[in-house]
Formats: sequence, C-alpha cells, structure tokens
Amino acid sequence: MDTVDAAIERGRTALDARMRALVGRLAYADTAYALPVTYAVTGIAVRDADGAREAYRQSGNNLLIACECLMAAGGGVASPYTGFIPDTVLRRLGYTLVDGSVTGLGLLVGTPENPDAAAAVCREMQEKYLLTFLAGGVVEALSGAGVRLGLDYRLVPLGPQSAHGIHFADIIARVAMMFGGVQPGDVQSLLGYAAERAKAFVVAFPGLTDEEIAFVDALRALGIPILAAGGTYEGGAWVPVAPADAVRTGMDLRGIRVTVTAIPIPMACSPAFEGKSIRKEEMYVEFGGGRTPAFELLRMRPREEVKDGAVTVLGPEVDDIPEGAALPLAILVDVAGARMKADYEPVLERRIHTFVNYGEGSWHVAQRDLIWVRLSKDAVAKGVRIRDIGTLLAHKFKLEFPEHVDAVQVTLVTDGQKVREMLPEAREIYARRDERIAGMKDEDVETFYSCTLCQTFAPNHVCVITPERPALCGAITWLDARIAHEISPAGANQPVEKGEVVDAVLGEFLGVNRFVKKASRGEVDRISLYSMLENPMTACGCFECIAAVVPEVNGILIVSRDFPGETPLGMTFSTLAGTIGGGAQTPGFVGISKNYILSDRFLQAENGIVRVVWMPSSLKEELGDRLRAKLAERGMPDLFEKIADEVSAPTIEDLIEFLERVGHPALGMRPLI
Amino acid sequence: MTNSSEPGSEVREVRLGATRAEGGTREVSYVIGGERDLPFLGNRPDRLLVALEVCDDPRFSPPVVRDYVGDLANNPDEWARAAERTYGADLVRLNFTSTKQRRFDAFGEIATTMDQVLAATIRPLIVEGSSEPELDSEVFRRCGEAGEGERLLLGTAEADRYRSVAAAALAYGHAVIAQSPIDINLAKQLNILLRETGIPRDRIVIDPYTGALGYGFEYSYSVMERVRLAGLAGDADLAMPMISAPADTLSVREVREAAPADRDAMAVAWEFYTAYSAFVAGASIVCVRHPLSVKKLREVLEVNRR
Repeated sequence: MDTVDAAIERGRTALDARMRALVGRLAYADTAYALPVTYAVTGIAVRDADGAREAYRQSGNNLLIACECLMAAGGGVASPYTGFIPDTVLRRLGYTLVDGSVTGLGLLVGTPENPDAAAAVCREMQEKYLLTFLAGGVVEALSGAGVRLGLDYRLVPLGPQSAHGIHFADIIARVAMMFGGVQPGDVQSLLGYAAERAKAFVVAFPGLTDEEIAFVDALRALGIPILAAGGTYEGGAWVPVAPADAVRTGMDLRGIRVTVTAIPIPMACSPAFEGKSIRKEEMYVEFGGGRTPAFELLRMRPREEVKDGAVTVLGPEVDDIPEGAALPLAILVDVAGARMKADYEPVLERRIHTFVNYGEGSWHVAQRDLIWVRLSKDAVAKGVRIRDIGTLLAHKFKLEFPEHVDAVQVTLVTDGQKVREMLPEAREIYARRDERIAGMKDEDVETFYSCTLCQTFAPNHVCVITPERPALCGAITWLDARIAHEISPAGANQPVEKGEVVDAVLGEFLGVNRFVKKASRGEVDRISLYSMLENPMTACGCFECIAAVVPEVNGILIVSRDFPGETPLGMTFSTLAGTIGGGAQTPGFVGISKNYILSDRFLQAENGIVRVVWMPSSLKEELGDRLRAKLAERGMPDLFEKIADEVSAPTIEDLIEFLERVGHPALGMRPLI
Repeated sequence: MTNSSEPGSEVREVRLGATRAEGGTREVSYVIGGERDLPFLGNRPDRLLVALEVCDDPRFSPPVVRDYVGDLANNPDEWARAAERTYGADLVRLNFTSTKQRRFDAFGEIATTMDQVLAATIRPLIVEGSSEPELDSEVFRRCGEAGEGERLLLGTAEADRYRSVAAAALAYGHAVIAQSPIDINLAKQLNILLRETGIPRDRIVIDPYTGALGYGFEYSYSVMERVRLAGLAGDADLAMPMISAPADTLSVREVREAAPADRDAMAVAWEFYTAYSAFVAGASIVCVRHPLSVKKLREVLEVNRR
C-alpha cells in the first residue's frame, strides 16, 4: 500500500508536465465565469493554454487550476453525465443552497468496493438534504445497484472519471461569485465563502489515480474535508471512515444540520403572540406567580443522556384539574450539543420566556424560581395540553440555536411534592451561576452589554448590563450577555462601549449614553448606572425588585416581586411596578435585580446600602448571609438588624419610629431630595 | 430626532423595475425612499406608489373585489393590464393565492402566469410568492427566475422564513419585502438576517404589517412612525422604505355586512382611509385590493403634490 502524500507528489509532477504540454483554446459553454475556479482565484478569464499557464503560475501552482484548465481542454461527456454545468442550471442549484432546501454539498469519487454500501451513502445524503455530485466509477456502480441519478434526485453524475470532480470546485466558485458577492481574484473571500456558506465534503472510494488523488487533496484548500471510505488511502490529511459513517462524519465536520420548521402542537406559535397577555378570566390553568412553587432550569447534559425531542409530564395534566386551577411547575430543559457550553445555560434558559410567549395560548413572565405561566381557556379547548409547552420548547431550542443545540428533551413536573424536592438543587445552580460573575468589577472591562429583549413590551427600554449591575430581571449577568452576543450577534444583547467617564460616582459614561440614545430611539439621552435620582435607568417591567426613595426618613426601601403586601409608601409591588415600568425614567424609583443589592456599585450615588431602610422579610432572609457579609465588609455589621420589614414597620409612621429607635444611619445623612 | 442634517440620516433609496436600458422590459422604473423628513413634511410625495392586487386564484380574493372586476378575475394578465391602464395603479401586486390551496403542486403554472403578467404590464411588479412555508423553495425560485432582470419586489420574507425569498432575490436580482409582526426590533433583526444572506440594504423594503383601521391599525401606525424615526436618526438597518398592505380591511365586519348597494363604497372607504393613514405613517407603497381605492388614493396624492 502506498501513502496519500507520495501519490500527491507523483500526481503533482504528472499534472505539471501536462500543464507544460497544454495547447489550444480552453473554454466551457454557457458561462459568464470563463474557467470559474481559475477566474475566482486569480481574476484571470483564461481562454487559451498560455493564459492557463500564466494563471497557474500566479496562483502559486494551485492544482485545482491545473485540473480545471486540463479539463477545459478536453471534450465534453455524454449523457447521463452532466459534465460542466451551465450557469442557468447552477443558479438553481445555488438557490437551493442559499434557501436552505439543500443543507450542504457532497462529492463522491472513486469506485466503491461494495455498490450497495455506496447506494446507502447516497440514500443518507438524500435524507439529509445534501446535494451530491458523483465522479468516476461510483456512477456506474450506483446505476448498477439500481440507484436513480439526476438533478431531480439530488444525485448529479458529473463524469465517468474522478477527475470530472473538478466541476464540483467550479460549482462552489461560481456560487460564491453569484450569491456571495465574491469578486474574481479575491481568494480570501472565496475561501471564507467556501468555509462558511458552501458547506461541502468529499467521500473518496478506492481506485483514484495519482493525479486524481492530488486533485481531490487540493480541494482541502477550500475547507473541504476528504473522507477516505475503504482502506486503500493511508496518511495525508484524509479522514478514514467506514462507508456507513461517512455522511454523519462529513456533516459533523462541516457543522451541517437538518432542521424542521413546523411544531406539532394544536396552537399557533409565532412572535406575533409574544406581546399578548392571558388575563385571569381567560386563564384555564396557571403555574407559579406566587400561588404555587414553580421554576425553570436549563442544563447541558452529555449527548447520550438526552433523548432528542422527548417530552415528559410528571404529575397532573390539564384533564386532571378544574378550570381556573393553579398547579406547581418545574420546566426542566436538557440540551446537548457539540458546541454547547455550560456558560450558555443561563442565556438559553432566559429564552424559555420568549418561546412560551410565542404560543398563542401560553403566557410566561419572570424567570428562574419566580416564573408565572398560564394556559388560556381557548387553547385548552383547542386541545392544548401542558405537554405542548414542552414540545414547543424542544422544537424552538433546536430551531433557534441550530449551531449549539443538537438534542433537547423537556420534562414538565406538575407534582407539587416533586417540584418542592427539586427546588433547592435549582437554587444552588442559580447561586453557582451568580458566583461566576462575583469578583468582576466594572472598571475591569471596557465594554458593557445591552439587553433589549423586553422592547416588545416596553418599546424604549434599554437595559445596560455591567459586571456589577446585572439586568434588572436578575436573569442575565454581564457574562451571560457577552455569551448571548456570541451566540446571536444580531440579537438583543449588543456590546456597549463605555467611552469617556462623565461622572464616576453616578456611573455616567459617554459611550453608554450614545448607545442608550440610539437603542431607545432618541427617547432617553443619558442614564446613570449607579443612581436612582439622576437619570436612573429605565425599567421594562421584569425587575426582580423596586427600590424607592422614602423621603420621610431620607432612605430607600426595596420591595421584591413576591411580596404581596403594602410597603410603608402605601403602595404594593404591583402598584409601584405599574408606575415605573414601560420604559420610562422615574427619578426616585428604579427597577433592580436582587444581586445588584449586594453589589459595591449599588446606588452608590445615593450612598448605597447604608440608605436601605426597609425590605420584606422574605427578601432579607433570602439575601441573608450574603448581605450580612457585605455589610460587615463595609464596616457596618449591625446594619442588617436596623433594616425594617413588614412586621417591624408596616406603615410609614412605624418605619420612622423603628429607624429612630435603632438609630439607622440614614436619618443623619444628607437629604436625598 | 428629526434633525435631517446628520449625515446618512435618510431613508435609503430602493429601485424597483428595470427598463430595457436597465436590463428588463418595463417602460418605467421607480425609485422609492430617499426621504430626510417625516412623511408629508416637505419630502417627495411624487415617490409614493399605489399598488393594486391581482390574484392568480380569485377564490382567495374578497367577494367585493371579485364582483367588481367580474370576468377579469379569471385572467390574471387581463386583470393586471386593467390594473395599470383602467384603474391607474402605479404597479401591480401579483399575489399567487393559488398556493393557498391544499396540496398545491402546479409549479409550472407559476412560471406561465409570471410570463403572462409580465407581458401584460409595463410598470414594475410586486410578486407575492408562496403562502405556505413548504412551498417556498419551489415557488420563489420560479417567480425569481421568470422575472430575471426585471428587478421585481418579491415578497414576503419573515424572520423564520426568509431564505427562499432571499435566495431568489440574490440569484435573479430582485428586491425583497421584509415583513415583521408589528415589532420594530424584529424588523431590524430580519433586515440584519437578510443582509447576512448577502442582500444589500438598498434592496430591502420593510413591511411592518398592517391591520385594518379600527381593528388595531394604530399599532402599525406607531411602529411605522418609529421605524421611520429610527431610520432618520441614523439606524441603517431600519432606514429602508416601507410598504403597507392593509389586506384585512376588506374582511372587516362593516364591509362584509354592508347592504349590497353600499358594499363597494364601504369597502373603498375602509381601504382608502387605512391605506392613506399608512402613507401618513410613512409608507412608500400601499397595496390595495379594490380598484376604486386606487383612484381615490391617486387623487389625494395629486392634491398633496400641489
């Protein structure tokens, strides 16, 4: 047996010799691209042998160019072979590639030892929507095995010799020039297009000549991997595969994926329904929202632990409960993917919100263990079940993140006991995610990130997310936003250059102002990241907490979403939320995440945590040790006990009395207003 | 916000149709966009266009239109000819409603109808291709191919189904209608997605989606206004001209239940006021379905031009 490398060298010598001996005119019929590979690589429209030699020289003896010139000098091929494919036909082929009805391109060369195995490869290529070209003995072998060939079958026989496979390269070159705006002679953009858009691989069966091996190997320059099917090629950069694994390996190497677009659930699913809400009277069943325990969690799992498309409901279904009922809910989404990272989990998890809202009869607010989900009566009447939320999510994640998610399974738990058992683990995971960002400082980075996910609800709202100030919904940290931008560069999280510092205490930056002005479409000129009085950030409505000035005591109170009672301001969370949401700047009030309370940058323009005079006991308890540690760090270990709650101070009068009694420092500080 | 002296703060110009000199067969071509101001504030109302819909399968046309056009409805080319010459439309919007049939597979007919309508018309053409995602690939290829060189305005690209329209536009040199569901951010995202497929910005027309007046039109109005303001404020991915097709206006209850004698008038009133409001909100092209709406819209545009 011989090595591929040695064959390539012999092939190169032979091709060089034939190039030197080349004479006459060279042309393909019905094309505006001369000899397309040569034209794309060198910018030279070759017409004759001398031109060919010049182009070959200029390209640094690119073997694809030699093969193309030599092919153009030869005669055509007879039916059923296509030979060179004219521009008009190619335009249609390119169209199917751009529109996604073809997922990638394959070239089969050589002569398979077992025609049935080759036929199986072709069948798999067809099933995966790959457009396959054939050159060499493989064509006769397939015909002999009863495989029907032709454009209609997406199996295109280019020619009887493997060397005819050069037309595969001229197809890619022309598609790049026709559809990708690649200019002739611009090798870099040609290579870029071939690598990113025209996803192709070659399956080489045995029996290639030295010249053909050299040619096939030269295709690697276009980012095309060569899979050696059958044991006759050794060495080189060729990837040995069993024929049965060839298609899967090729698709994996090129990141080719097949997607399905229709979601099999009995309700429409589209962004058109995202902004709608399901009111109490319209609701058949609800989950969470303070009435029942509920949470959502997306985790990365090893591929073998995820059964793609599997949806399981553990606990009561819609049929088991009366209209208007409330059920507990755990939405567990397990994803696997070669390019998935654990860092992406929170970013993908946040999309559960969007996807559930896409359903015509399903509605979702908030995040993590604060979620609130409803199904409408109309939807349930049309046959929608809790299970369909899982089906919707399973499909949407694969559709929207085809690059990162290969398999998804969804488990929906409506059994209260089980949900309660799972909650602590989920909370641990949330805490670990929050820890990853702990320790990063705003001054350590030059770039913040935006979030405009909520502009469907609050058209001018722009969240600016910094290491020390997570998104007000609490679900997206600076790291998450950076990753979200990586995954979806045109999406809702965009980099925000800090720019020049206007005021370090207020947290006002020129770059941030520029960005916010643009993203709010001129509505908001400037924001202070660390102040609630001077140009505070706008609020959508998803905030975990609201911080509000209490003028009577010169302090700030914080109320969280899960607290149903009245604050000492005489307003409940929802009343306050209605006042400050919708994308407005409301000095004196600001929507914040829980973690921001623990940040060193927490409302530092107003002296930060020292000013906090009241929060619900549930929030105090939740922040607990972390808040105590933060206060100790700031030299005020006893302040924790000086913060009132709904028991010690239900009204403003009680609050004044409480603060005076404990000697809260806020009372003696400069007036806030 | 409306400071138009800022460089680049104008709506991008989009060219529609191609004359013989430009590689097509149209007798005129149009340029839309180019505004540096809010609608009707000293911009160029002469660029505003009224399109009339012609359906290849009239069963999917509203009864009030079918009754009015009579036999024309059975010949899309004759209907299209009348749209330009009798009804005075600036351009025809050829809607392949046949693709709404179950199990549609008459792809050959698409090309034939395209050829006939192109032969019957002398002005640029809007083509609404497939109505069903699974037909997109076959239908848009045929529309694109049959109109090669004519610089059609090809619709409709949406966030989860834009590839076929984009591919047809790229392969055969057409412009694209990018429709989003009354959502400025999705409009922008779709334009970015289209640009990533290789469609240049000057070949995109935004359709923000339009409900009927009295049936949610104010949402469309507000989004159109914001798209325009964003474009003027320098957001290049939103600085495209807009098209509005208030197709729902002819199926509102007031039109459906109108007394037979009043039905045409009611249909035209509803369609006219919605379409005209769309112009006021910033649309460059409005698409209507009742022939008499065209006349009324043209008249009022004439008044504005003076």
